[in-house]
Amino acid sequence: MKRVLRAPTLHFLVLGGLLFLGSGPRPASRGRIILTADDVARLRREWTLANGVAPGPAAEAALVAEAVDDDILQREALAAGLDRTDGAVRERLVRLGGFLGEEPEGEAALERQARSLGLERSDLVIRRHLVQMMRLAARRVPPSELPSDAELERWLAAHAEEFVTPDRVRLTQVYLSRERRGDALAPDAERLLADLRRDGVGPDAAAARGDPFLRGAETGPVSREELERTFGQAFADGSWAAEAKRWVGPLPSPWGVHLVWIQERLPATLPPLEAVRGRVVHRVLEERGAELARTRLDALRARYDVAVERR
Amino acid sequence: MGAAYRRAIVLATLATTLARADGPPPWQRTETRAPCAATTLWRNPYFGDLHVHTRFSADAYIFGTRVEPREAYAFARGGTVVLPDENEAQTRTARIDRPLDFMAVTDHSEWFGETLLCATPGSPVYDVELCSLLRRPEPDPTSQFATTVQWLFPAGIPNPPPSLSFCTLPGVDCDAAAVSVWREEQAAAEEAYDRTAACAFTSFVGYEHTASPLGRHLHRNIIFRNAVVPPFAKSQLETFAGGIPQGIWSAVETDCLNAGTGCDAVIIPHNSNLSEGMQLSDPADAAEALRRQTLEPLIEIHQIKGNSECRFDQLAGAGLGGTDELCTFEQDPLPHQGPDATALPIDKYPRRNMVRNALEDGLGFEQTLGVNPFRMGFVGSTDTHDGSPGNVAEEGWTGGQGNNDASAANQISREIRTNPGGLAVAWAEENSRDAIFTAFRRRETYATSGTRPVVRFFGGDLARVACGSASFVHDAYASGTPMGGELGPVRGARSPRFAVWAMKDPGTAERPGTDLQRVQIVKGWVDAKGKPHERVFDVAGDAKNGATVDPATCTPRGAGAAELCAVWRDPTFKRRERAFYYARVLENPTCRWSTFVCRSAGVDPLSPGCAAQAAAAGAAFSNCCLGPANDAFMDPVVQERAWTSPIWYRPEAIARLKAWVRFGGAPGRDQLLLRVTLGRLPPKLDLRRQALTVRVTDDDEIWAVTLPPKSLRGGRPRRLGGVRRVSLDRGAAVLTLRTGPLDLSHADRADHMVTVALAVGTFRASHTRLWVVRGDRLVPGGR
Repeated sequence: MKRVLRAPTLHFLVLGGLLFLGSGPRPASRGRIILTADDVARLRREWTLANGVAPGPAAEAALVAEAVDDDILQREALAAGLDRTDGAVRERLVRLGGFLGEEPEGEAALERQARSLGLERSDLVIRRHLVQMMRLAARRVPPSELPSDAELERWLAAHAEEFVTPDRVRLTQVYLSRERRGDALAPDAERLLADLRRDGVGPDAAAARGDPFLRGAETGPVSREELERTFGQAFADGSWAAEAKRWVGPLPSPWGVHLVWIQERLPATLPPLEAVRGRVVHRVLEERGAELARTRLDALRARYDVAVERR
Repeated sequence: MGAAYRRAIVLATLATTLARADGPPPWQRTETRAPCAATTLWRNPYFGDLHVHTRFSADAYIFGTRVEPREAYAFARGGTVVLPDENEAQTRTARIDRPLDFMAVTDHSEWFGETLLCATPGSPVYDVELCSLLRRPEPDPTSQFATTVQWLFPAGIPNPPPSLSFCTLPGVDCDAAAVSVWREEQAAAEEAYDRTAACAFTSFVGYEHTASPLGRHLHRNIIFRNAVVPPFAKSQLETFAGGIPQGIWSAVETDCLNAGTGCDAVIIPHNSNLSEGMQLSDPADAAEALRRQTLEPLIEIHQIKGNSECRFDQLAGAGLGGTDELCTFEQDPLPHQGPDATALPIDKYPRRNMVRNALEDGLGFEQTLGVNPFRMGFVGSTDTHDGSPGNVAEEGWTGGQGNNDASAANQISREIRTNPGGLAVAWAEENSRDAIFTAFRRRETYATSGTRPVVRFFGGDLARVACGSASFVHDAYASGTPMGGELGPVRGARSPRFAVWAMKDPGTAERPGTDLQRVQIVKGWVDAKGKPHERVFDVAGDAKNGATVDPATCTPRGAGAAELCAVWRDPTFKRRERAFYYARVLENPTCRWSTFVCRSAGVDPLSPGCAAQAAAAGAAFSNCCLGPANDAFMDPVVQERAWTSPIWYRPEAIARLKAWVRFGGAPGRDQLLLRVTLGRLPPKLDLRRQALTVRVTDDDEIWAVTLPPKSLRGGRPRRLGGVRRVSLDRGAAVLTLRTGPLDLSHADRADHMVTVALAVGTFRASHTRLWVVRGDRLVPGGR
């Protein structure tokens, strides 16, 4: 089965990256781009098919802008001669050259034949490939702009709400089982609560005075949401706000009632960079790549006159 | 204990000011992460979904699903996803009723690249016919089915599927696109994984390997332990030549387990109910049986496309190899999904479509080959194709197959046999990848049909284990094995004890959990002639508690139990008969999802007027009136349930272990004693030709030795592994082994789980118990 792994077209990315560095003077204008009314109608049709509804004004504007950018990127790629260095493009040209009827010898001759017909400009597959590669290249963050630890720390602090560990509690609870105690449940719980308070019983000694709980006497640290998921809403409501280091209750759960001792409260904290580094680096590079692509494309757009026809 | 773990413990202790006497969990930390602040030797139940499709599955895309893997993970944590309506417009939404603890996106890796290229405007193949088909909204089920077949089976159903035709076009690189999807799946899992000490959520990288010869589902999910995964998610397209399932087994072994990269994975088959008996196929020999046992420790027995535990036809009044009437639950009438599929009478239905029957056959193979190929623990999951993991509430279910079940009419007319699917539950020390993955490995897992009851299940001597005892869990781990493990004749000719303790699902504020009705123990065994048998024992609760649903409101009526517990002995136990035992926990009856949908369409499945109401509501709703009177399996009222992984009784497994690690006063002065009593010597054991390997492990290897053939004859080996004396009493089946002074500092001086494992040829025996510190010794903690 011929489905072997191929390396991504790295050379293209590197070349493309250089392309966008904008070294040397360039002509002020590379020409005029016209999007016809038919083009716009086609874009709208495709979008409708993909999304099930027609595009609104904002979506349509984005479609048009993207089509214009595609055109610019194709032209820039050709101007830089990327069609001559990219293996996939050349392979495609060789194949197209072979379809033209005459049978010239050798791949170079086939490619020449295809180029003589301008297929490196007009073939849709080549166009899309070049544009895709250019878009990837435009997002490329050069090694000199990789974020430092200090920058990552700053970014994390600025986006704390996304990464923050919420308030949590750690608690010990003494359980009284409804199955076991039936009607005596409520009075038993009140009596035990009074005993624990009167005798100053701590959490370690107290669990043995209730019934065994399948999930154990200790819980957490857990968030408010996890607490409710584990014990139900009434328990979570009653214990979340309770004072630490004293017995509260009885708090109902689906299985009986509980006397609760909050061991400690852990206020919301921002985790250290080390614990979230992977996610932060990913996000920073994404932002930086998008920013670079924006700047680079803006610079390119400035070189063209664009006209969009509408009916 | 590894230095890394010791550091981690120290950090965890500092971080939470939580002083613990407990030792380490029985696993190594294989990844860089903050240790969890909440961790316990006694393990917590974590609820998850290990079977989830998003837009990168070609079929889900065809059904109109556009949910990204990132959005699916976000959904599991409480977020919202956007779903297609009947016409594939993205107009519906779904939100989980309560978050999950863990989850894996498992897209079909067949057509990863093709799906991405076709879905990306501007890709070179965007306009080719196949791509347009993929994207085209298709409200008509017939044409949608044709598209799905064209995509999934382009070469004709029985043939090896090549890559799609457009992949050979110049300038089109489907493999590179497949790699970028695989990287996106990894990135999405990474982003969702909570590596902080809060340990609020665990993601796993995974994918589905989808072999469907003639529509027989031989489907498997591959779940990876950590972020180290193969560079390419090999699909059936890449592994076809290797056979099914050996091709994917080899790929996982070569690219992951034996790659030397730190990669680790389990393979989880699913939908044996649609495999025409082919998924759980006969092993070629003992080696292949052992290979399956090692690679496939779990099976998904409940999901959207039906239940695979067991089967009973309520019209025929007959079951598949048994008489368990509760096996009508969520059955697909068809034995597979090929074009030639027809419903079969129960006596013609393929036996190994059902896991209980396959487990019985596994015992038979162990009888003849010496190895059980089907040593599978249980998980449930959804198999959602909507990117909506854990979306399992029956009331208000939004479906799971894109536009196929996007409307009430479609749900009832076309997908009445599907259900919201189940959950996978893992008993783990903490909510991290290493902890949960290791629970998968040792099968300390259970499946649910979607609800969240909590259930513990142990087998062993369990002499001190009693319901209501404060030390139930401690004593059970000390003197028995939890679900998923194995037992020898721990009490001689008498039955081992089984302890099961369950508590009801707490539910949510909007939908309270349902009371429990009863707990059963399901036993399967083979007799001396190799004939399979099964029997179901009610061990707690009350089948006749009178609970039912209120036909007017669909709310449960009548009381059940908040908790149930039993310590049980098998009255039919025979020391020589290999068997498995698993617990099944049944909730009180509740309305099935379809009952809610039908009622909102004005058709009440619980009413005698159902047929007339259905006639008025339209043809789409005639299925509303399917039930015990007119259908082999359907019931508008169901009993949600949980199934624990089995415990296997093996006559030749380790029955008793006397052992100690004695810590010397100085480095290199420790000593080990092992006195391992097997139930009997395995019949094929040949120590004149085969080596014997003994391993003692906790999170690290404490000690291991391989004794070459014949070394047990003279009783004095050549100082291997520091062994001073070793002997095998063949009559009593007792292996005694004592070392001289050596370094056993890897053994933690704390109460924790320790495993002793024996291997000879393809024979394996394993014994894990809580070991406790007694003075200068570490000893097994129970009788």
